[in-house]
Order: sequence, then C-alpha cells, then structure tokens
Amino acid sequence: MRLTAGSHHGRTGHRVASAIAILGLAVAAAACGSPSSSTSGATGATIKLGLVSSITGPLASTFGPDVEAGFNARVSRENDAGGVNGRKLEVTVADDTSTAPGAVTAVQNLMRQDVFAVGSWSALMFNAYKPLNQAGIPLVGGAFGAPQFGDPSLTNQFSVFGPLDPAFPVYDSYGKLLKSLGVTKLASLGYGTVPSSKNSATAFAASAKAAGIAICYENYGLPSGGVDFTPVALAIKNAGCDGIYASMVSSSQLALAQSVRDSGVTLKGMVSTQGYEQRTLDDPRVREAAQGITFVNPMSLVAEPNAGMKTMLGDLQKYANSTGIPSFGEFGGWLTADALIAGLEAAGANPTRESFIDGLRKVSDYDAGGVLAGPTDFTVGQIGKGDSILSGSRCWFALTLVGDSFTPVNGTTPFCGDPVAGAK
Amino acid sequence: MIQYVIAGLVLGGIYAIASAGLVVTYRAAGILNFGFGAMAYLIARFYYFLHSQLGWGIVPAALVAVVLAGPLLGTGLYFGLFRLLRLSSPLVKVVVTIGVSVCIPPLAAVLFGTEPILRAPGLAPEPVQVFLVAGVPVTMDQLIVYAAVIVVLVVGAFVLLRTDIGLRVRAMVDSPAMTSLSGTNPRWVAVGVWATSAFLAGLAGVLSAPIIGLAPTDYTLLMAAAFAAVIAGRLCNLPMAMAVGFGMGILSSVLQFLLPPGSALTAAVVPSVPFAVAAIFLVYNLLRWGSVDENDGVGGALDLAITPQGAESLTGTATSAPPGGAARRRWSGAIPSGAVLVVVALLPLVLPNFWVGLLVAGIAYAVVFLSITLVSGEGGMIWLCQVTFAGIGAITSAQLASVYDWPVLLAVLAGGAIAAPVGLLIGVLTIRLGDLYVALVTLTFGLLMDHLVFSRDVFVNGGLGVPVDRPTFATDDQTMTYVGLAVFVVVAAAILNLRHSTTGLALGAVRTSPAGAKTVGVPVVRMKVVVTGLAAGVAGIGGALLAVVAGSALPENFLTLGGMVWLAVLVTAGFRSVAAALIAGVAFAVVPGLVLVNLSASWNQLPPILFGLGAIALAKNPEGFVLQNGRALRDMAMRSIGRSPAGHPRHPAMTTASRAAPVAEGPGPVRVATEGRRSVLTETGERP
Repeated sequence: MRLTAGSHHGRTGHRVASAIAILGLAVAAAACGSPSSSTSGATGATIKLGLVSSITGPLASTFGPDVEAGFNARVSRENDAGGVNGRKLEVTVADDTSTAPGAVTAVQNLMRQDVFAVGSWSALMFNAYKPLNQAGIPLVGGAFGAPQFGDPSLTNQFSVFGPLDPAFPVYDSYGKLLKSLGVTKLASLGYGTVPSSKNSATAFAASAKAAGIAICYENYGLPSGGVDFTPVALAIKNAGCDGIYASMVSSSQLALAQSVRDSGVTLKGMVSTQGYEQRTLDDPRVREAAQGITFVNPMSLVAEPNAGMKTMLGDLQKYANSTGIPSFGEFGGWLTADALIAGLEAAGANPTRESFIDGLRKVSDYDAGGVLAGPTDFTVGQIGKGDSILSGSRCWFALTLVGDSFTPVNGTTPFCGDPVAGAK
Repeated sequence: MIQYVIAGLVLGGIYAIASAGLVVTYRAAGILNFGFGAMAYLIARFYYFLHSQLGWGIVPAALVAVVLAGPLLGTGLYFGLFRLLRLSSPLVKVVVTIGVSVCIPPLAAVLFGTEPILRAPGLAPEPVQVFLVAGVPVTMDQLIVYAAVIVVLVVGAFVLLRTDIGLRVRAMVDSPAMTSLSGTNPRWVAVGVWATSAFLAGLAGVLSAPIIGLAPTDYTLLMAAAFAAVIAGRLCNLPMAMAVGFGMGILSSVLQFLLPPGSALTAAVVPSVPFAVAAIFLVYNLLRWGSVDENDGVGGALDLAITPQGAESLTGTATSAPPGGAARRRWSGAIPSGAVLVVVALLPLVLPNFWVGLLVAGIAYAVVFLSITLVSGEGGMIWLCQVTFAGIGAITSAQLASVYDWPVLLAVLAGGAIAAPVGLLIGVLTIRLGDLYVALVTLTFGLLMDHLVFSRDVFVNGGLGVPVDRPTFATDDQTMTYVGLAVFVVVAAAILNLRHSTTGLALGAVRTSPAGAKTVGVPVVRMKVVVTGLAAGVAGIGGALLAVVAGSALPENFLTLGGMVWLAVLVTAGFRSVAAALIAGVAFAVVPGLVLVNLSASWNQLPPILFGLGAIALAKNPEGFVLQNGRALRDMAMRSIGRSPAGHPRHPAMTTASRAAPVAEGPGPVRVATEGRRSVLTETGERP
C-alpha cells in the first residue's frame, strides 16, 4: 500500500524548493547588512547612541523593557529641548537576550550601525567590551560583575554604577546601618556557586563585625535557585539572630523573610540591596513578605525628591508613562542616558569620540543632577575604586518597608562610608 | 532533627507527585516525558495568570488551570505529537520530549509576558495560615501538598485496582499487544493516560510554586529529583518511585542540619542528593540483575513477538549497498557534503564582519555537533551530556592557555584529550544499561558536573570565565573561520572514514541488531566504548574552539539544559550527516542574529521556540531535513543529467544485491506502523 506515493514527487519538489529558498533568504539577509562606513556617528544633525541591555530572557525580570523606556525618556527630553548643542540624539537598542554571546552580538550589531557611543545596563558585558575598546568607542553604563570597568588602562569605559572592586573592600557604612537598626547578632548568607554573592556577604559581615556586631550564623553554601528556606530559618532561629543579610535574588530573600517570620523570629533588621521599587508596594504578596525589610540603594529619595529626582520622575512620567518609584531598569536606563549626555556636553560643540572621552574623564563629581545619593568621580585615578556590595556607591539611602510605604532610616541624610582599615 | 524531617516532607511530597506523573506516562505510553517540568511550569504560570493577574478566586482558577487546562494540554500533546511516537526509536522519543521542554518556557513568556514573579501563591487562601508542629512552621500551602499526595495515592490506587478502566490500563501496561487484540482501543487509554499525566504535572507545578518559586529554571532541580526517583523505581515501580521521592526531600533537609553551614562541602552536597540517589540505585540494580534495561518488566517475550516492529532500530535501518559498489556509495555521499562545505568556506569572503563573527561561532558549534553525530548517529547511543564534555574541553584549554601559557591550538587539542577519558569512563559505566537509562544517566552526569565543577570559581572567574586569546595568526574572524573549518573537515573526514571502515560497519550492525551482532562475534562493548571516548574528545575540541572564538571559557555556556537545545537543533537537521552538523551549527549561531537584526526585540523568543519545534518535528521526520532534502536534491541533480536515480526498495526483502538503494549518509527508514485499524506504509526514497 503506497498511500504517499501519489503526492510524493510534488512533496519532494516542494521540500527542496523550500530548503533552497530558506538558504537563499538567509544568505541574502546576511549579505544585505549595512556596509560599514567610516564616520564616527556624529554627523551634522544627529548623534547615534546605542544601548545594550537584557530586554528579553531570564534577566529581563531585573532589566527588561524598562531600561529602554528609561533611556528613551531621558533622550526624548533632551531632544525636545533641542538636543545636545543643537544635535538631536538617535537611539538604537540592542538586546543581549540575557546571554554573554548575545551581548557580544548586540555590541557588534551596534558597531555595524556605526553608533557614536554605547550605553550599557547589562550584567553580561565582560566579553563584549573589547571591540569597543579597540575602536575607541566610549562605553558608559553599569559595571555589575564586570571588572574591566575597573581597569585603568581602558579609559573609554565609564561606570555610573560601579566600578566593582574585585577585592570587595569593607566599608563601614553597613555596620553603621545595622547599629541604627538595633541589630546585635547578624546572620550572613550567600550562594555557594556565585562568587560575588559570597564575597558580598562576607564583606557585609566584616563591616558588621567592625561595628561591634556579632555574627551568629554564616552560610555561604546555599544552592542558587528557588529553594525551600525552612531549614535555614530554623537554623537562624536556633542561633538567636536578630538581623539578616542575604546576598540572594529578590524572590529568595522574600521566601527567606517569610520563613523566618513563620518560625516566630522577630528581626530587628533585614537588609537587602534589591527591591526598592514600585513593584514591591503594588504586589500585595510581595509587600506582605517584605514587611520590615530595609532596602539600600544609591538612588536619592523619591518620597522627598530633590530637584534632580523630580526631573527624573517627570521624564519617566511624561515619556514612559510610569509613576511611582522607578524600577531598577528605568533608573538604570535613565542614568545611562544622562551620563552619555553629560559626556556629549563635555565633548564640546563638535563632539568626537576622543573629545567625549577626554571631556568626561575630567568630571569628578557626576551625580546625575542629584539623582545619585553621592557623586561619582570619573577621573582616571579613581577607576576601579569603590564599594562592591552596592556597586561602587560610597553613599546610599536606607528605607524600611512599613505598611504600604518606605520609611527612610536616617531621614534625608544618606549613609556614606569609608573603607575600614585592615578589615576582612 | 525531627524538625528538619518535617521540613523536608514538603519538597518530598512534590517530588513524589512529579515522579508519579513520570512513571504513569512511561508505563502506559512508553515515553519518558522530559518535558514534564516544562508542562508543570506552564500550568503553574497559567494558574498565576488567572488567580493573581486576572483576580479569579482560588477554586475557579485551580479548576480551570489544573483540572481543565492540564488534561487539555496533555490530550492536545498526545493527538498532535505523542501519538506519532508510539513506534519511534528511543532517541526520537527523548528528543521530541526535549523539544517540548525547550519550546514551552519561551511560549509561556510570549503568552504571559516576562514580568518577574517574586511571590507565587499556592492553593491556600491568603493570608496563609501557619501552624507550628514540633516547633516547625508549617504553612497551609505545605499542608495542602501533603493532602494532595495522600489523595493522589488513594484515588490512584482505587482507580487502578478497583475500576474497569484501571483494569484496562493495567492490562495495557502489562501487554499492549494482547490488550489491543482483546478489543480495547488503545487510543482512548492513551488519551486518558496523557491527560492524567498532564494533570499531575499541573498539580505538581501549582503546589510547588509557593515553595520553590515560579521561574522556568526553578523546575530543573525538581526534574532532576523526579528522574532520580523514577530511576530508583526502575522506571516502572510507582510506589518505589514515590517513596524515594519523599526520601530525597527529607534527606536534603536533614543534610542541611547535619552538615556545617558555612562549608563549600554543604554547597556541593545538598544539590547532589538526586544524583547520588540515582547512582546508588543504579549500582544496586546492576549488581542484582546484571543489566538494567527499560524493557525489563514491561510486556514479555510474547508481547515483543506479536507487536509489529519497524525495521528501524535506534537510529537507522539496515544499510544497503548502492549499485557500483562501495566507491560509488562513498562519493555519492560526499557530493552534498562537499557542496555545503564549499558554500560555507566562501561565505567569509562575501559577508560583512558582523555575520562572519556569527559564522565562526557556528563552525565551532558544528564541531561539537559532530560529536553528537558520532555518539548517536554512529554509535547509536543517546547521550545528553556532550555539552558537558565541550565544557570540560573549554575550561581545560582556557586554564592551559591562560595560566600555563600553552600555545592556543595545543591547548585546544589538550582540551579534547582531557575530555576523552571522561567520556570513556562514562561509556564503561553505562555499558550495561538500556538506551533510556543511558539518556537519564548522562543527563544526570551533566547536571552533576554543572553543580560540582562548572560552579568552581577557578573556572567561573567571578562570572567572566577564564580568558582565552586567539592564536596570533588568527585574530580576525575570517582567518579564525578557516581555522575552525579546518578542524571541522579533519573531524568530519575521520567520522566518514570510520563510517565506511570495518569498525563503522560493525557499529551499524550493533545499531540494527545487537543480538545479531553478538552472534557474529562483533565486540559490542569495545566498539561502543571506543566511540564514546572519541565523541567526548571531539566535543572537548569543539568546546575549546567555542571558548577561543568567544574570548573566554564561560562555564555558564556549557550547562546541560542549554545542551538540550543544541541536541534539538542538530537532530532537526539530522544526526547521521556531517553536512547536517555544519548546517545546524551555522544555523544555531546565525538565526538569532537574523532575528536580532531584522525583527524587533519582541521576536527574540522566536529562535528557541523554532529550535524546539524543529526537535518536535522529528516525530514526523525522524531523519532530519538535511538528509531528506539532500537525497531529493541529489536525485534531482541526477535526473537533470539524464541518469535515473538509483532505486530504493520499499522492502528490504525485495532487494537484490545489484538493485539496492544508494546511501547518502544514512538510509531511509522503512517503517510499517500499525495504529488501530489503519496501516500506513511510509517511505522516504524514490521508486526505481
């Protein structure tokens, strides 16, 4: 019985044709990439800026389309005001799809389109920065987990949220915070398989020790990924701790907080570097689990905004239709754009890549108009120096979630830290 | 310590439900569903959508998601997909279910968006009540898990043992052939089984969401533990699997109590519990029974005798010689491969730099894919850890090149040389295991390596990976492409040579009929082990090349679950053709680039979905599209030069030595499949 023979030839021919068509299309699409040009992107009327971030993929929950929205919001305001020295800004977004090879492709895609400078709010730039460096293209952005931002020889790179000092120096600000919360015994937790998590937790614990706080429980061997925290909560309870620092992702921290609460433990303070966002207030489940957690972040206060914060909130509302506390992505995108614009302004009336780099390297007190809790120094001598727990920020604000709003610890004064001598 | 036992019962209960779902499907439908975790995630995500995003009440949302949508999903998958797999080879079954698991998370992202879910609700009304049992906080969610496990056990046992439908299911399981002869329509039993399995998956997903989180990656550990429990139950024993599932949950919790919390040992030991459990049970079963095969205890000799079998064995059918002898066969195979190679070699000269960069990565992937061609295509074994060997090669070569200053290309070769003995070892250890067990064991090995080795900071280097510089003569992408192509050609030539050598023919004999090969005196064990060692070495070289191309050896790029996608891509193209390996590698690297450049960011979920669908398409198209089209192209070419394409008989019995089919790089399967009352003869060749 040959059910298929009758249509066989037609089907074969169709399959062959489709295979050839697909191959042909692929080659044509590839070959039709734009030819490389030799301008440096700053043609008369416009300046092309590129943005790399994790718009899609698993990291989109931390970054995501918010980054693009924040970036575009800042750029749109600048364009509406006439651009930088009369030149409008054109934005190209390249998605790294939450993978390191994706970041490499994203950067090469931007270079193919001949952008003047690249902004990055991505944790995956560590393989992708080299071609930018070789071509002398300025790279401005967040330095999370990317030590090359701390390499003084790579002067084309500017970190607005870092640099990450790989030695994880111990800053005294965290100990001060714990003291003001009334913590006397701290539990310090980190992932066993993520070195930055463990390093962050040990540096935090060292800061606590320097402030005279005892470490009652340390566990730097937690498996990363969603786990049940009941055993850990039991151990914390048995050790009599009244404070926790867990260098873990938000969802894990919330699960841990809930477990500890369910065990009947009352904490004086639990400190988290992530979660100061509108989402924490809006999602009832998250809000309930996060009660009493103290969030630290390098953004200035939203509830009592200074002039710079008012401007950022205004941009996000007008151009990104976003109200409330900016998300990490919105904040990062806006900040990256603002730093790029600062560089363009420092570059002078006829910006070139070299003048951008030279100009921005002279700025020693960049704070995004007041949006950052403390100033960032872009001069060459300061490359690579900073507090690695909170990505380079010497100064930050601490706010505790009470009810349905964040209450600042220490009023409108940020905590500013200095390295603790001889501590580790 | 009792507190920790109570704490561990929750996860144990979830593992038990998950393993129950897996065993039910395997016993009744003959398919070990690697997509179980993904299905659980999808239903759980749907429940979250209904309850948390749309604001439905708990009961209506649970009813719609778990009771309605789950079984619907299972039924849909059965009719669309699993129905076609009844007589497929184990490799096809494994890869198709892997395709399902690759497809579903990006589909869920497309359907429900990528908003992060920090706290997922379970079935307990909120605010969630907490009870203290012996000082241990037990939430209402956890109590519901215990209740669900008990209900599943009781209801399941009642249905299976006391009802008519249960009797039919047990009959189907004992002897599918006899049951279909007695008038039970196996189709409806199968639908019921898949619906139940999907229901259990959905239940496991919704129950675990508040406890382990709601992200696709959270379900990995769940799946590893469920597979370990299933291995412990020898794939068939439901009570054993569930008991071991419980035990693993308790063991993980108790270990956290017993081991010192700060040590690196604890961090390594706790996630390794599923693998240790699997290993212990495998060793015990091997010692007790001598070999462990998934066909043990299912059906019997009578069943095997009367079930219509395809001539297709694991990965291919009997080869038959083309007219003109061995030389003609060799060359007719070389033409399509050669054409593809020439096209790829010319591409760096015409494409802009951006695409050449992707192409060079694609060629490195192609070398790794060749290792899968070797171990699965030639050796006929389902190995899911080739990506792990690639990773071993990458980290080794990076260490040698960066820390010990070896010349790069030598370090690449050394990467392969280190990976090969590991492959040999695994080969020796798995030699007495059935195909499906080999797949499970290699998957487990890969996951174990992910946890124990690829997480070491000496390799992770703070998240950057150890840097690897390109060889000084090949710092630009074009030259590097040719270096990669040279490696590919050498390995491909070696594979083709192997295929046509005595060893290759012996391997073909082993693939077609292991019993027959043993009778003739082919040293099965030695052949297979040699092939696994070679394949691991090739994978190591490919992985090292990938590291050289990328500029650093990042262990994160070599995780086992990522390797499933690689397998899906290669198998779509065809795992018995070296040309297919090259096409698959290039496609894997280039297609995401095409999407990135030409489509907006919202289309970025498309490549993984496509790759998953490609793997799923294997159900209809077991050879892969390259072989199918390659043969068609060649026949078209021959027709155009006036020669009639050599004939391809529909029955091996009708073959005479001089009128047999030409073989490109793999014969077409001739399959007689019986489904119910319909008989379908499928052929993939031309008529003489």
